[in-house]
Order: sequence, then structure tokens, then C-alpha cells
Amino acid sequence: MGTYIFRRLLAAIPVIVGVVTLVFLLVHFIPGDPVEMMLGDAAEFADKENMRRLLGLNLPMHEQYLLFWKNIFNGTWGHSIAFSRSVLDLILERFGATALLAGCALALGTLVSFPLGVNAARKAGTAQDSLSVGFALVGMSVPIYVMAPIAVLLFSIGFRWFPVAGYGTVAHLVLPTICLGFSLSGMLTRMVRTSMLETLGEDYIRTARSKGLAEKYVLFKHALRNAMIPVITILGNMLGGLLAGAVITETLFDWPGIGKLFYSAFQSRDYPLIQGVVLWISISYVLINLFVDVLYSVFDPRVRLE
Amino acid sequence: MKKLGRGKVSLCVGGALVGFMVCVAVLTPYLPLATPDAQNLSQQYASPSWKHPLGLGENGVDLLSQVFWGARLSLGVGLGSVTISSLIGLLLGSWAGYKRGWADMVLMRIVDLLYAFPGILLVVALAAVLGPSIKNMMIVMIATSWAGYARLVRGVTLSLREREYIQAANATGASSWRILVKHLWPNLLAPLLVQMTFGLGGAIMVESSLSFLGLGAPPGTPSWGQLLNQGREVLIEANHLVLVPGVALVLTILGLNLLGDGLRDRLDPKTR
Repeated sequence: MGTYIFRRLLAAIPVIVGVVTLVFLLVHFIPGDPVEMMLGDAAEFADKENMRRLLGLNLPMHEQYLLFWKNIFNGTWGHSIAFSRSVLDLILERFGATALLAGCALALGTLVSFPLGVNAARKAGTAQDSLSVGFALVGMSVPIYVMAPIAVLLFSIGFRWFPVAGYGTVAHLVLPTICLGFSLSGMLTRMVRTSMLETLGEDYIRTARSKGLAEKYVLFKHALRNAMIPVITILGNMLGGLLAGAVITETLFDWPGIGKLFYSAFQSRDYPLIQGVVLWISISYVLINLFVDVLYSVFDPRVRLE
Repeated sequence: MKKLGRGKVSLCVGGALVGFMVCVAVLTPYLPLATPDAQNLSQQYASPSWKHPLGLGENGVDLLSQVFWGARLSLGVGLGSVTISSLIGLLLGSWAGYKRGWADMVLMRIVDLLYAFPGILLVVALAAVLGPSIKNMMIVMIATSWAGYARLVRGVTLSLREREYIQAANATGASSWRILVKHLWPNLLAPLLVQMTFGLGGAIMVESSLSFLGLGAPPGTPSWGQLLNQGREVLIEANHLVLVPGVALVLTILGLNLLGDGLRDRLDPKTR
């Protein structure tokens, strides 16, 4: 087990190096002069030079790259132009809000989709199954920026149950959680159903049934546990997708997390901040996947032996 | 038997929805619609009427015309990017999967790197850096989505190359290119087509997400994402501004998802 985890950790290092390199190169994809893009071409020459020095853009490429790594290790992650502060501080202040929303949405999505998916697989081909499949399809086809305004229209403006947007109380959390959770549960219901259908067709399920085991044991102990394995991977992917999609969700609900920070960063062309947020989310994602891999090996010892 | 029935329904309903949207996108310039950017400031956000069946939007533009032109943009950008990225994926993926060796290794490392960025993160970051324009949006979408097709094609190629007919072609001295074009590509078409259908839905979602964030089509271009963003500001006064492009977007994506399901049932029953 220990060697397995160590091997996975080692394998993540080149991926992280690749991610950092690509994020570093991001600023160099800007067509034209990044400093002029930020300050406008009418800016004073001295201001432009100052900015260039501040961002390290006056240095040769390889030194810029080293500087980028140095900034990561000294805990600043660069300097935000718009906020005049360290990028990492800005991210850390806001990450809690994003994690809270993502966690609640993932929990709601799981709570809805597991019963729906398992039930649909058990009653495959019936009306109940078709309903679940339909629900999953709708969940997958309604983007959050369509879902959210309609939910606001209904529950905030119509019924006045929840605030339209903002942050602070539990009531503020409800609408964004429902919208995100609904989007997730579409895809998840489908995955749980497919995986469960596949598992229910296995020989060991037939054996379990033929030896007269009660259906609930067959379903939850023999089938669901095995069906969970591919679903865990999807959950990891979804958490990553939630962090990336935060830029839309948080803009919609005025939620003070890193998604809104990202939005303000590209509105003000704050390139170091853009890079910082992209780096933070993608490294979180690599680590989530690493964790999922390890979790996988706990659920399924076959993985460790490969 | 029941399964087959559902597949057929998916295919028909999905095909009808997508077919309708494609007709709208193709025919829009020839329809007797109001000019999409013709302004009518005194009637900004007016509700639907005989003259403007879906109402008016920001600056009093005709929503019906905006939504129809938006369909053209969404489907155009989506089809363009999906076609180009799947071609890149087909070429690179089948070559790497058939030849193996260092080319395969390099390709898969690049694919892994692109997969290390979750969801729309890389798309948004690249679009933010390049600036809003239709061309940049296409570049960003192709740059981030070819890897998915390459990975799929490579996987299928890896299993196909062990089949007898490929080995037989190889034994008769056919060149690698000939084997790829004549023997592998025809067999890759079905899974690729299924993936492209779902990919088109994804691409349309990406296009409207970018336009929603102000990173896609430049301001003034009729696009569903931009309409949704404008509508969200005036939700109380004019909810049709959100509902109209919202329904268009959802029906299109729903149609593509249904069509993809139906096609998969028909063409590629193994991967269901």
C-alpha cells in the first residue's frame, strides 16, 4: 500500500511541472505586448517600464521561468496588479467559500443520484427507469447559467424564499447548491445507473441470488460496492469541474470565492492573478485525482497489484 | 426489445430537434426577420407582441432575430471546432495508436497534460489571454478539445491493430498509410461520430459559457450566452430575455445528447 501511494505521488510530479510550465507560458500567448494590454497603449513609457520590471517581463525567457518557480516556492505566487497584494493570499482568503459551495453541491448531487441510479438499474426497462433516465438527460442538458436565473425567478423573486445572490447565511447557500447539485446529479445518476446495470449482470450477483441471499444484501453489499468504483473517479472529475466552473457559478450568485476572483482578474487583465488562479485550481485537481487513485486502491485491491 | 425502442425514440426526437436548429442556422439570412442589431430604444425590453413575437432585448433589439442569428453562431462555431479537432484527433490518434513507439508516448504525455486542467478552466484562461473574438474562440476550443478525440481514436486503434484483417493487410505489404486510410479509418468512424455528436453539445455549451463571461463573441454579435448575461441583469423587468435564449440553448443541447445516445445505440452497442 505504502509503495503504491509513493508511486502515485512520484507520477504526479511531472504532471505538476507540466501544468506550471503551461501556466507560465499563458502570458506569452498574449498577442502583442502584455503590458500595453494592461495599461493601454497611451500609457507613459516610464509606467510601462515599471510594470515590465514588476512582472519580470524585462528578463530573458529562462530567467522569467525560474522567477515563476521561485515565486511559487516563496509562497507569494506572484503579485496581483489590481489588488497590489500577493496572489496566494488572495486565493487563500477566498478558497474556503468555493470549497464550501463545491462540497455542498457534490453532497446534494450524490444524495439525489445514488438512490435514483440504483433504483433505475434495478427496475431497468420500466417507467421508473425511464423517468430517471429522463431526469439525468435534462440535468445534463441545462447549463448552470440557464438554470440559475430560472431558479432565482421562481424561488427568490416569486416565492421570496431565498436571497437572489450574496454570501453570509445558510439561506444564501441554498440556491447555488440546488442549481449546482442538479447539474451534477444528471451526469451522476446516469453513471450510477450504467455502472449498477453492469454489475448486476455479473456472475457473482447471480450466485448471491441463487444461494438465497436477501435482495438488500445482494444490492448494497455485493452490487453497489463494486458499482461504486468507476463512480468514484467521476466524483473526482466532477469536483475538479466544480472548481473550474466556479467562475460562472460565483459570477451568477455573487459568491466571494476564487471563481469571482478569476472573473475580476480577467476583467482587469490582471495576468499574474489569472495565472495564480489557474495554477491553484489545476494543482488542486491533480491532487484530488491522486487522492481518488489512492481511494480506489482501498476499494479495489486489484488496482494495487497492477 | 424495450431498449431498442428507447434508442429509436432518442434518435427521432434528437434528430428532429437538431435538424430544426440546423435549418434555423442555415436559413436565418434568408428569412424575413428584423435586422438583429436594429435598435428601438423607446421600447427596450418590451414584451412579446405581433410585430416582435419573442419581445425586445437590450437597446430594443428584436429577440427572435437575435436568437436565430445566435443559433447560427453557436452551431457554426460548434461544428467548425468539432470538425477540425476531431480531424486532428483522428490523424494523430490513429497514427500514434498504430505506430506506437516514441510518437505515441509524446502524444499521450501532451494529452495527459491537457487533461490535467479540469472542465472549462483552460478554455476560459486561454480565451481571457487571447481576447474576445470568434476566431480566438475557435482556436481555444480546438486547442483544448482535440485531445479527447485523439485519446478515443488511439484507444480504438490499439484494439483494432491486433485484428486479423489488419495483420493480413500488413502481411501483404500494404504501407502504413494505406492501412490507416483503407482499413482503420472506416472502422473508427462510428465511435468518432458518436463522440462528435456529444462533442458538438459540449462545444455549444463552451461557446455560450465564453460569450456569457464576455470572452467569446465580441459585444454586439448576437449570441445566446451574451443574451443570457444581459437578461440576468433585468430578470424582474424582462424575464423573456433569459427564457428565450435559455430554451433555445437547452433544446439544442438536449437534442444533441438524445441524438448521441441514439447513434451510440445503433452504431456502437458495445460501449453503451
